[in-house]
Amino acid sequence: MRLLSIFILAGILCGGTNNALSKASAAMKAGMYKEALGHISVAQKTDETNPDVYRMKALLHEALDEPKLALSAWKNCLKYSMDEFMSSEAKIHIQSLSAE
Amino acid sequence: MKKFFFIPSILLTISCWYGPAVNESYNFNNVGSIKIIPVNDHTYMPGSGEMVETSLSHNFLKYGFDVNEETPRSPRVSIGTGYQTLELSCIITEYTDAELIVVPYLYEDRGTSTTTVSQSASANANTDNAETSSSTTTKIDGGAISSGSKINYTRARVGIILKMRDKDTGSLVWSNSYWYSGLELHRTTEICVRNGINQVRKLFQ
Repeated sequence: MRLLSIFILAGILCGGTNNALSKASAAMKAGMYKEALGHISVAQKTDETNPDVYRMKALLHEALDEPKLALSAWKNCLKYSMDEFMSSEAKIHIQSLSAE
Repeated sequence: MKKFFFIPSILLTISCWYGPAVNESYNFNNVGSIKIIPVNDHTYMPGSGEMVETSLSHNFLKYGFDVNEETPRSPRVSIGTGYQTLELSCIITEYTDAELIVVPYLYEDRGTSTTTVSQSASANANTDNAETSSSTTTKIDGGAISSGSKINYTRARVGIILKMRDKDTGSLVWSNSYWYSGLELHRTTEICVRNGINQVRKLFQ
């Protein structure tokens, strides 16, 4: 009797968000802000209410001189933030960007 | 009973007020110029004083004021035809190039799918036919959304206090503090100072 076993790995699809945010962080450190924003968009699909991620996104848009997108991200950061300091930071940025 | 509600409401109002402090009796229409006093460096960042100072005169210029830099490190901003001079001083309260920000997040483990195929074949010498059999087993790990991971990045933070006093009388006429955050230090400095100057110019409109 001959036994033949074949293992087929149909797909290891792990590490969606985890990987995307790590890549965003690495891209930010390298100064590749556009690429970082792309990875953040992927990460946000599973964590849509994370104020820290919105803050990260807002800072990237500001660095890329995209005030309208930055303003929108700061507003979402303020909406979901439970932290007083972060809310205060968001308000300062919203005020500054609205004055432009 | 009234005191019980009145005192906390006053304290709450004071703690929530972040606007500038203005001497209401001072007439800003009489101001002819503003002299910018040299800015001292922040303790941890040599050269920061000059950067903020340059940004102050740059922003005045950007808002349409005439800036005279005849005297080194002491620019004079023309405001109007008034006879009074104000001295603008700036204290750098924070000048951080790389503040570490930790981002906690939820991550999605999208699971795995493993398929095992087993095949066996047997042949008997007494018969002409060989028998084969196969079976397929698939294991699926559905994954989960879990938390506990984090990444980090660095950002810059700049804080300043601006003060204006009348050169002749020495009385403080206006003051406010500002801070801003960003990914690049020079840009963060620029916006922080701009927010301050934007408020100063409104005094003379």
